Amino acid sequence: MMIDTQASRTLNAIGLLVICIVLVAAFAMQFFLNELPCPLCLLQRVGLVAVGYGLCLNLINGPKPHNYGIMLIGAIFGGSVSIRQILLHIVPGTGAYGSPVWGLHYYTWAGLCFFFIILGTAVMLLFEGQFKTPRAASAGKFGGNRLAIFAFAMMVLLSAANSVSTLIECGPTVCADPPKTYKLIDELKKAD
Amino acid sequence: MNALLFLLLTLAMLAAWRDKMLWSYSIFAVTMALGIYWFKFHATTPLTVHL
Repeated sequence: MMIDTQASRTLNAIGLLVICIVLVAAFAMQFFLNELPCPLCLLQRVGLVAVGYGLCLNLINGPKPHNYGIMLIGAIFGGSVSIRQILLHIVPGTGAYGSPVWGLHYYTWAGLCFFFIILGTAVMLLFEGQFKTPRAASAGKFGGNRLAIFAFAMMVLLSAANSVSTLIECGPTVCADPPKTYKLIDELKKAD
Repeated sequence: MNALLFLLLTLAMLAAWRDKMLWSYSIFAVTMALGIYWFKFHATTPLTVHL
């Protein structure tokens, strides 16, 4: 089966939207269940956004092997953090962090996500046809693909939103472990 | 400090969008280096568990 540049862009856009959904779900847990993300949880979100960065490059300039390499770097970073957190809580008596979702904790879900990202990236790299499409067919940013433009905008917005929410939660210095309140809001209240 | 990582990745995406690829890749590399530093910092914090 051949995948040309445009089909690859669409698949990358769908992948990016899935990552956006995961980040939105993380925000939903944070705000509706009032479960503040711990420092390792935030680093897992960084891993997801780093994968999103690689996908964005594929959307903007067309698919290239090194963009998939960037995705793998992001996924291995995030996966390492989630495995570290899983191992922290695998020891009896250490409890868990956050509520379980369908029996698994957030960091376990994150570990699974990164595993599937690595698998998906490897599968995409099998289709060399996406890298051989004549330049004219993929001319211009996003190749005129509206889904790609929408996915890119969502990713940029979510990354910026994570920056703001993390600044409010942790302040400009080291994040509390585990975080109990929004540090910047507390400091502003104290200043009043 | 974690907020900086998200900010840098946002800037890397915007730089790529504006065709500043060297800036984009450089910012991404700096973000990953900072990320690994923070991972080591948080991963080596002593645990407060009582077994």
